[in-house]
Amino acid sequence: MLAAVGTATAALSSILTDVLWWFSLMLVATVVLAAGAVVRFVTKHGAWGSLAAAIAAICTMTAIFAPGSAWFGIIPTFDTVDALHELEVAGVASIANQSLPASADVGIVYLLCLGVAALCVCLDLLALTWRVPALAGVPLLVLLLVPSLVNPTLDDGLFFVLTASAYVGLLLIRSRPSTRRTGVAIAAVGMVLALIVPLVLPSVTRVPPDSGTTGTATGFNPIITLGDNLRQGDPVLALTYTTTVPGGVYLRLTALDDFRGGSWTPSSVDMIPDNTVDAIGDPPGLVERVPVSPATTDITVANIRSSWLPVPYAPTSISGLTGTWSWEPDALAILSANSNARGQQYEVQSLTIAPSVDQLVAAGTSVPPGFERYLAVPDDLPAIVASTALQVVGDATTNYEKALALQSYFRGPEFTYSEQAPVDNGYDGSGAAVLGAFLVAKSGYCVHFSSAMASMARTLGIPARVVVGYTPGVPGALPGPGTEYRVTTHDLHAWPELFFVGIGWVRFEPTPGRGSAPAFAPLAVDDPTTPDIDESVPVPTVTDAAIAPTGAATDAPVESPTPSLDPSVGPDAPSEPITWGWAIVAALAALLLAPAAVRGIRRSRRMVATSRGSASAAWDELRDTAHDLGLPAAVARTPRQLALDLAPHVDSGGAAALTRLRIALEAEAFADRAGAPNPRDVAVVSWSLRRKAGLWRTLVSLFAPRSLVDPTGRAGVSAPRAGSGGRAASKPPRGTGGTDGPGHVPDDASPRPGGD
Amino acid sequence: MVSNLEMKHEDVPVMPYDVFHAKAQAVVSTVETVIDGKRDAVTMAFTVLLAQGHLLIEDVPGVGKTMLAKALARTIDCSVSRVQFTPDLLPADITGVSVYNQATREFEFKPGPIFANIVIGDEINRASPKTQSAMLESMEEGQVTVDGSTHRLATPFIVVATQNPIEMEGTYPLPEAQRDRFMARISMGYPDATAELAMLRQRATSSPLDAVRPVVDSSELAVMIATARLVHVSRAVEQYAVAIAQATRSDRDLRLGASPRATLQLVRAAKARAALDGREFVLPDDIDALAIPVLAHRVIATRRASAGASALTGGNVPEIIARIVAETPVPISATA
Repeated sequence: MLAAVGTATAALSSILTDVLWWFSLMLVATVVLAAGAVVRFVTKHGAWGSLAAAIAAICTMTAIFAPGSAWFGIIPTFDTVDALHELEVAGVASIANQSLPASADVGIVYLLCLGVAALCVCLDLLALTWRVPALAGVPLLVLLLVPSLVNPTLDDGLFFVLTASAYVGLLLIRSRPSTRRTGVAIAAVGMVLALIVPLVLPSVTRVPPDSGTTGTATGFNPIITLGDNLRQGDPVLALTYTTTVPGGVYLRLTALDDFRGGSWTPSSVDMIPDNTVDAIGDPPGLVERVPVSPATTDITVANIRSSWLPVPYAPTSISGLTGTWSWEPDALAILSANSNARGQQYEVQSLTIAPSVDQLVAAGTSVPPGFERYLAVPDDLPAIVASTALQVVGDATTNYEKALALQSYFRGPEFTYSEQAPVDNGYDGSGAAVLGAFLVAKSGYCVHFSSAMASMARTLGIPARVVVGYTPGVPGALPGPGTEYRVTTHDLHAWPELFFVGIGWVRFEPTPGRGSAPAFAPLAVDDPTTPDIDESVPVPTVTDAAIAPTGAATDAPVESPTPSLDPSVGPDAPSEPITWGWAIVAALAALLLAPAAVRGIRRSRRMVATSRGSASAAWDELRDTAHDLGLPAAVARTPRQLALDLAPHVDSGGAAALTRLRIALEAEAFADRAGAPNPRDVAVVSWSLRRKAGLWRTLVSLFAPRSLVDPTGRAGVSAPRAGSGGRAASKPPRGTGGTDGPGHVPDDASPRPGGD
Repeated sequence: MVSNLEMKHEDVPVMPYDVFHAKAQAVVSTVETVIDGKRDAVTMAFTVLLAQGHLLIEDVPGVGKTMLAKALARTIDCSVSRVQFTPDLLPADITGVSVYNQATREFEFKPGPIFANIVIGDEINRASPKTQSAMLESMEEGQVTVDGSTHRLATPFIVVATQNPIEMEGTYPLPEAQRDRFMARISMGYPDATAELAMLRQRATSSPLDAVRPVVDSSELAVMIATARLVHVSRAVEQYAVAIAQATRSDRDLRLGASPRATLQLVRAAKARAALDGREFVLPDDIDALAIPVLAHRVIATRRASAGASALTGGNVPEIIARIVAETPVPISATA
């Protein structure tokens, strides 16, 4: 049992770093199981063992996690409850805030230990007290499911096989010899099913963790779950907002500006408590001559569990938040150490920056001091990135022209949008190595396009970063002021921001058919939310057919890209024909039907044997059928006794068939003659039994055949069959009648002395 | 089947099982006219007779133990003798004595009451252990040795001993070793109200025993006994009987388990029971039905198991045997 728990918990190693936590879990498991075993051995009574296991679980948890608050270090007090509750809160927060693999801090270890302690008590109760080791697989299965639920990309079968083997071992050890074969057979069928079913069914492994509460799983790198969110079959509402900006706003979560480590990550920033959100600093790099217009956006977050707040660029103040939030000066990201975006309702005052083309061109190629870090690229960046960049920009001179050339390159006909291609071909992610593959395959989604463009911009000497956030979403029925925009998980997006001297960070959109309309179709201002300005600017030469119509595109709902962009892709295209829900239904159905299937196989084998003349096979089948229906059918009953027992439960036709089968069996088993059983008789008796038993018991007998778990039918033995001669003190029901002739034996009343 | 057996055992005459069944029915019905409402006891007694075993009837006085033995003896046309066991009864009073014949000037053997087909030993536990053992020795050997000469007993030979419960006054309980020589122990039990009422009517004028006429003679009985021996015992039934016997030896409630002789007699009795039923093969039901009569008087319950139970009711032994039988699987499964 310990082995089963050990291997099952070891499966968690795929989602947790280091291994020390495993020893904590094993300590808890060992103490709990040992306590149960010792007490069971001493008291010879199963229930006490389970009780001891439960008490040991509580004491162990106390001793490990809150010894200071307990009597003698192990007996919990009210303070202990508080201490453990704090740990629980910390653990939940830690799980919510960490990406995979997570580091196992004390909160997480506490939660795991709690789970393992409960699991061990369950195992003890199921396998030893209630003697149903087969069911002990259920809690183990739950444990095994955890890693695959948390990280659906895992496909490590090793721990599954190890745990399944330990489970089979559990069945072998705890079962009686007669039930052992059945148990092993069930387990073997289960293992085979578990391995085959996923191969037969369409893949479900790429489905994100918890469809209900998804958002950017906050973590240190929100980009890791972005692809999963986009590929999710059904969009989940992330937030709604109303804004004064026509056409809606892009909502930023955070900027990934550190590319030195080989993948795009946010540079670590300490929380600055003084940076309260009621007065947010100026956008970096903005000078006064760039036209800006104020905007107000009311946002209601539904389902984003993120410590970053979605806000439009560039926020100046936020009101209505709960919890402590502060702003980060470089990215103007709003974040909280102790709160969560989920359920927040707040109003953001922001500035919409609308530089003119002249201003952008005038920014030239210079890099202001302090912005060198936005040029850093990892050493292992594939050469193809820089060479492609040079090739694409050609003879463009200013940073703005180069940026436009890059954007047009990505939005050109060579590239296609696909959420699945990078996964299928193994270059999903935002790492440096991925970019090379992406530039060759020319197929990917926003993560690839944005990181590629940002990387190429950096090689060209343009300060660049990748921003993660949401596209404006879908406006409500009435476009115009006051319209509510709905933003879902499918609107999760990544885009590059490039820095221009005197203007600041400017958004670009290299992802074809995805995200907002091409902001730079007009060789104009960066901000797509100011269409009035866009339309006033001449159309540049870099525009091509793949780019949506000028001007209007900025207003167009982002969720309805023009078909000409790339009809083969789209965020709404469900990539999985079978959803997670269906997989669960299928698994449950398989579980539900497994006993019936095993029983059915056994039944058909016996029927074949019966038709070959085996009366004992027919009788076995009959007895199991009766047993399944809850009728007394112990193997210790002789054929005549059983026939007598069943007589009240069959109609006349069934009784005749039963007698024929009994005679056939007696001839075969006891007279050493051929019995010649008729398979039809078995069917007649079974049908008769079921009809008398009623629909409900018949269904139970079909789907939960008890002959599988209790093949001897020992539970069916009730009163002893005494009373055949001798000095029986009482006169129990006779089970020995039914003879063909006068073969009765003395049936005594209680003799009493005297009375002569 | 029967013809096959006849070919195999040409020297032993056998009868078809349906004839056997009819004759057995006649015997049982006839005896029943005397012992009302005790068909099971009558059948068991006849079963033991056919299996060539000895029967111990243990019950309180006055329930018809002796009447059963007498009626059975009368139904079968054979010699019957009756010995009333008393504390001063000597072994020679049973086996017989050598008497000096003045005319022939030789010692002449005067056979005792044991030289009969059916010997009724009334209240056997009232005799001294010495006399008891003399009787039981001859039961086992089938012969008597007096003054150096051996005398064979009659065939068929069956002792029907009756015994008062050991708590009654003036009794010497039979030791285990001697109890083991009886094939079965049964008790009569009180008749129910209807049977008792009928008995009153019947016996108002005459003894019903006088009306009993033999339906089977001793040669027919010999054939029936030979036929019963030929009943087929399948391997499954043998296994079943052995499993039950083995279980009594390891049962937590029994201090002394069933002996191999007990297993042997269990199967032999089961054969007779099957034949009585008109069957040419033994069923596990036969074993089940005979387990308590054949085994209960041979095993001894532990002190703990018999605590609270009167020895009059055989301790808790019948219940223990019934439990063992109920727990022993019948080996009929195709997979077993």
